[in-house]
Amino acid sequence: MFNNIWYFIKEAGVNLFRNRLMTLASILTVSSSTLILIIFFILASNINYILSNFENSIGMTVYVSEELSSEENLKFYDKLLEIETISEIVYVSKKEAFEKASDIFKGNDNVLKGLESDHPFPRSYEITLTSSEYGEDVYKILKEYEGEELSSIKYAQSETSALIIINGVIQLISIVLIGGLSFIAIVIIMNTITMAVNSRKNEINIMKYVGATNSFVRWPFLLEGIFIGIVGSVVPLISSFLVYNEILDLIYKKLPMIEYGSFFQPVEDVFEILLPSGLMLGFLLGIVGSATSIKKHLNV
Amino acid sequence: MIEVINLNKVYKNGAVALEGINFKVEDGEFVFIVGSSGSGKSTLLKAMLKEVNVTKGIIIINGKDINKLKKGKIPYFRREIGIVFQDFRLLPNKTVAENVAFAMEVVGAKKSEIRKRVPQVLAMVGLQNKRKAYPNQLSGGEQQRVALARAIINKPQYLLADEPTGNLDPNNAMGIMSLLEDINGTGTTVIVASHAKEIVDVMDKRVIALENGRIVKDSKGGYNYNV
Ligand SMILES: Nc1ncnc2c1ncn2[C@@H]1O[C@H](COP(=O)(O)OP(=O)(O)O)[C@@H](O)[C@H]1O
Ligand SMILES: [Mg+2]
Repeated sequence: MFNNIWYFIKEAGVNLFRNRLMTLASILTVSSSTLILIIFFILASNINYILSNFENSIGMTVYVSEELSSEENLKFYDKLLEIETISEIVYVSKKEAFEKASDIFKGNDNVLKGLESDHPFPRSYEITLTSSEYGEDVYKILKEYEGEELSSIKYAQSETSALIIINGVIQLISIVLIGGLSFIAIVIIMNTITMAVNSRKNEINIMKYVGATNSFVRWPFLLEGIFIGIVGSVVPLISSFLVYNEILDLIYKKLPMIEYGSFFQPVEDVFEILLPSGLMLGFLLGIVGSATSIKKHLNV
Repeated sequence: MIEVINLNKVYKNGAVALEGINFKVEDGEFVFIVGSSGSGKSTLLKAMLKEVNVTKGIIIINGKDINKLKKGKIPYFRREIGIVFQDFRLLPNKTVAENVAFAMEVVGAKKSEIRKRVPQVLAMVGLQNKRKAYPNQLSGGEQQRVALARAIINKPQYLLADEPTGNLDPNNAMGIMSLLEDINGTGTTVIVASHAKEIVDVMDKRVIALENGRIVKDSKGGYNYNV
């Protein structure tokens, strides 16, 4: 078989070139399936990434009322300590709150100029829960203090559950779209290979008469399908790698309040999974398309 | 040796192509299979190539019962048999040399072997000067010589020819026949299906005559089996 590899490649190349319009069409359909895979994978994995960041960070932030005295504040802190499902409490003083705000507005220093002594950023407690499932219970308890010790409570649960739903919808849409486009890709690849087989009917006949083995007859057509599949997936994979990189760069540059490189999933992480799965998708589409056509039209 | 025992072939549509066929061909023989159109000559050759499956009976080639041949073994079995057709079946986009080399390439022969062997067979069929020509630049007789060269390049033990002179004028036809005799002279067993009476008569070989799928004569001599 390895003796003949160049022969197979040459024959596959001739086929691909001879039916170059169909070749192009097949490559484009594989590309579009792969592109859909890429887009939805990037969306879904970023949502997951952001969600897990949420879970790892603050479960809740409660803001202490301006009027609350330091003593009362300490008493409230004791009450927080009594809640068993809270695993960690970080107190953010007035001074620290200002420092945090300055961090966010880094680069636009003049926004906060002169506010150091009399600024609107409140004291707060950043609460981490032993598990996110206790979120609702703790929220209910803290709600009792709202208007008294607390001015407000920031609880991300509502945002997170929306993200979870969006993620589910995106996954569903992507499965349907990838399924549909893959089907179209396979049909078009089958057509391409069928054309290649038909334009070589005579050759195949002679090959069989002189004793070519079945696998020898099949290989060029399989290679043709594999080539279409790989090229069809490599092109959108490489271009999306570059584009995703650019977009992240742009976002981080334009939105300084997002910490550089941390909010969205880094390009290497995304493509560590996307590259092999995208290539696998293309490869499978190519080989399934050509194998189906060979089985149907090549009685070997 | 080829041994055919009580062979029957009925096509799916009910056409009875062969009925009760029995004969033996020794190694090195030259045999004509004659009979009018539709008498079953092509079906008999196809059965020997295992291109059609027979309804009943046994074909033993080189000691192997080809009915029992596994699908994967058929290609290797075919390498023992060269075949030529009435319509040459050359590849129009390949040169003479490429057409002949093709038969070696597709059985995975080494490049160096191919380069050595192609000029040899082209010389044998008298086409060494035409090796760069394309089929459409050749006469019918020359095209059939190319087909013969392709059929024998892998040194098959048997050569089957189905109406090899059917598309040729008598002059070219005789040329092909003497070439078949040359090939037979190198030890290859040659079986030729033909209904060209004049040629068969001149050749004076063993003749198996078919009529409606049955053997009506099997003896040395001319075509005419009614006398
Ligand atoms: N593929 C086929 N399907 C059905 N009938 C066939 C087929 N091939 C040949 N026949 C029939 O079998 C008989 C023998 O045909 P064939 O072997 O081609 O004869 P010959 O080569 O002597 O002209 C004829 O009656 C023909 O119609
Ligand atoms: Mg015939």
